[in-house]
Amino acid sequence: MTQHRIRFTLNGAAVDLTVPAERLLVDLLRDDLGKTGTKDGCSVGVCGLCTVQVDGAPMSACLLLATQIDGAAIRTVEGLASPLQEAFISEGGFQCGICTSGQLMAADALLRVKPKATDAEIRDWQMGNLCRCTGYYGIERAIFKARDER
Amino acid sequence: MRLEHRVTVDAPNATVWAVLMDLPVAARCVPGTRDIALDGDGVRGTLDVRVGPVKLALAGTVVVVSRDEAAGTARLRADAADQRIGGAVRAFVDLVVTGDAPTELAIASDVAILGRIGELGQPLIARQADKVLAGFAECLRRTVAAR
Amino acid sequence: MRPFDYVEPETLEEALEILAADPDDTVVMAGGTSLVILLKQDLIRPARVLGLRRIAELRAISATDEGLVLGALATHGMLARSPAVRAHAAALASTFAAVATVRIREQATLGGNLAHADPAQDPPVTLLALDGAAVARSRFGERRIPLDTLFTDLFETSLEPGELLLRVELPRLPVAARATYQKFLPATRDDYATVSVAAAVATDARGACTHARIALGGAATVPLRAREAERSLMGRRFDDAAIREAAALAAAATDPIDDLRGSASYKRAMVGVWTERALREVA
Repeated sequence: MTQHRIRFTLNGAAVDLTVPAERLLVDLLRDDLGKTGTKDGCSVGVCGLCTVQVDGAPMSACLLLATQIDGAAIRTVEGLASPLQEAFISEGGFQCGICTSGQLMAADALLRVKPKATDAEIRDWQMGNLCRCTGYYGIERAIFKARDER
Repeated sequence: MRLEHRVTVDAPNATVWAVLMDLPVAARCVPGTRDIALDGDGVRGTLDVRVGPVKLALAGTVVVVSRDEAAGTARLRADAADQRIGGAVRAFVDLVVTGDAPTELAIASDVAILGRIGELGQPLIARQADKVLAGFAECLRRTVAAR
Repeated sequence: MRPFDYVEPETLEEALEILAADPDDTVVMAGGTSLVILLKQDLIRPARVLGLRRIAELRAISATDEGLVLGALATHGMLARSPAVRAHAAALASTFAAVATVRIREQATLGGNLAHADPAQDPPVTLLALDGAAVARSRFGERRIPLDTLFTDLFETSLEPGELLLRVELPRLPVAARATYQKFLPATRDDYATVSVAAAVATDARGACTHARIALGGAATVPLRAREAERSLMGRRFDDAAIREAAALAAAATDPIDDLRGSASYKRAMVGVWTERALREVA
């Protein structure tokens, strides 16, 4: 019922707006700000489709109230410019594409803090990003490639 | 969902049967019930259930659908709706009373959960039912002993 | 989601006032991973959500002379990475690292995890085996709650209306104690465990047990201490026979729920298997 002024950065640009208490980050991004690259899948934090970076850490935008990101730096796939994207294309890292933005935002978060992450660390980190087409080999190859070519 | 429970009461068969068929008394023995009142052939009232932060207030009725005192069997029907989170519970409860001091009560419930209550999940609902039944059994023993 | 009011006080005192004013219709939010789902499912309809995120003092993790103090707002990720947590017990850091996925670990907090009291959770099990105690505060004062009395039933705790969980305190482990957390995950790694076991054991120079703690997850409606099993080990040589006997006693102490992760009898048997594995790990 209450309205809240929140200020944060979205892909580097300052945002200042007022939201109702019950607004979810995923809806704020998609419906209010038109950033539809972030998808809403399971809506309970399991599938990874809505993965965004909050101060660099991957989180589920479907489990965050917009009020919780006041003061934070948010990155979505719209703000991503990384060799990861090229690698996903060249390695066939997607089929239907619905999980792709979440896969990218998760993988990017890892490679930023751990550019030399091992294969096992990458698999472990990406474990919570599901691919309904089961195209995991392509996704894995793409992330390995992006890491190796850094 | 089918739930089965057994209760042993160290009292005469006839006393246990009489308490069970006295619906207002039996209903008050269910932990969490309030506002129990006669309603036609049955009773109405409210059952409060709490599972952590989730609170239900199931308001409804219980009626005896059939009974056979000679055989020691009865079938009850319970209908209740929750006003707090939305949803309903419908159950047929078969009672079988056998033995005599100790008297064995078998309760077989066929429960349908409708609406949002179902989100709680069957394992959790079954465990809550066990807890409610354990409280009922204890109260039943006390009530029978007092008669 | 149904509308609600949101309040985000800057201080603990303000938070306690807000909570005390209307405890029945106020829910406390730490990380929010479980609470937001309950709100979305419309299973709870609070008038207001009390957000704790601005109360920075609740985020601290510190090693003290007495042991380790973990702030309620420390996230699973912070705890998994914390050198202080690792130095206290590597098994504790790896417990936090084994919860769900990286996304949940970065958002979900220790206090939220304990107060939510989901019986399938990991951290309570290891914290129980490490003799943890929660500290809660209301307007009327502070109270220490040993973790084996915090959890009272499925999603139920002994926290009183108006109380906030502030931190968890862990005493120093006995010198030479070894600890482990073992999680049985037959399906996927981000799942809740079917059962889990934490053990902390110390032996003297002759190999006899001088300290034994065994805690079980998924084994009942609350995380459990397997006290009979612990007693069976005390003063005894920590050998194969002792381990097997303790594992059987741990299994016997369980009262599991039948659910998608296994029947009650399967879980009971698995507690035996995994207690044995946990004890061998620290032998």
